[in-house]
Amino acid sequence: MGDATAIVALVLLALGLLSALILFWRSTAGALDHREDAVPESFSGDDRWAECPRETIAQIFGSEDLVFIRTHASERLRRAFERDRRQIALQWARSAFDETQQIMARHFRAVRSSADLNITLESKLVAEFLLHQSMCLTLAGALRLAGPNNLARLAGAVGNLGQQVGAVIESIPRPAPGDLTKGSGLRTPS
Amino acid sequence: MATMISPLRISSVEEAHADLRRRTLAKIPGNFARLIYLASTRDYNSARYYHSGLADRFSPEVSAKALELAHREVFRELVTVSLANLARELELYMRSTHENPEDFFRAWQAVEPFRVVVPLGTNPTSQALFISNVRFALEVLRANQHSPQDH
Repeated sequence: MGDATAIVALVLLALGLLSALILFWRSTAGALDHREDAVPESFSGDDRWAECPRETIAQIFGSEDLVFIRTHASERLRRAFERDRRQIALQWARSAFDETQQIMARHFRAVRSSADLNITLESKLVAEFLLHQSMCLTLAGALRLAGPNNLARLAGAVGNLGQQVGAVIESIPRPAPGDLTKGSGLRTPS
Repeated sequence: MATMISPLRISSVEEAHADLRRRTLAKIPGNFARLIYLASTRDYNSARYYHSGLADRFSPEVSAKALELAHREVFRELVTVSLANLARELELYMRSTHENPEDFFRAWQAVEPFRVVVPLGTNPTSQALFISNVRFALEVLRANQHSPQDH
């Protein structure tokens, strides 16, 4: 078996693994939609939610609140707190995954008929997108196994990479009027 | 003569917002009480904000925008504070109501009025975190009201 065949096999294996993870993600994400605190789609007044502040993400994945609960509450409450935070962290990871998927879908729809497609830029975008989605899945897996504590760096990296994907799309000349990132929920650095 | 509705000037909204902060919000003790107050200026059915004094000084549209802006700001401040600080804010609010603490906890845990104080368009993760944090802050405050600890 030549090197090229091995590379193709590895790529197919990676894609298969990614698809399996996405399927697993989808099948388990449904449970989150039925959470007591799940927000209906119609909640947003203008079809768009405000961004989740960085401090909020840091708080979800940080340990300060857990220390407070450990000091001031019972064991039963601590367990409930950890369960709640895990669900909120999973909700955030899932929204990061979905938002980036949406913006990429919009981008692909907009550029597929474009005559002056920049292959280098598009390749970079796809690579960053796949990395972002893989990191979201890794984060979700880690959350299920260990909870949000000590995952602040990974969550921060997911947030930064999501912004980076938005920045790359911003840098691509638009083939049609309109902001591709509009309504996607994806933020671009100012 | 037909009057033209001019687009809201940002400076007017900022002016109304500053006026609201100075005249009204500064007199309310703590961000939790401010949040409850600002949410109460929003109509349950239309989600439009209204404050008669502010609407007289500026216009209903400008005052509504200023109230919405202040509501988002105060909510953001509360959703980004630690659970310990949120519990302090909640305790401050509870004391300002002059309600019997046990009645307050019973009502808040049964009715969960804090669910309706979230501004429209809030990120679902922020909303979930806020609701969860208030619930845990209530639990901690209630558990510690007879055995006060340093929180």
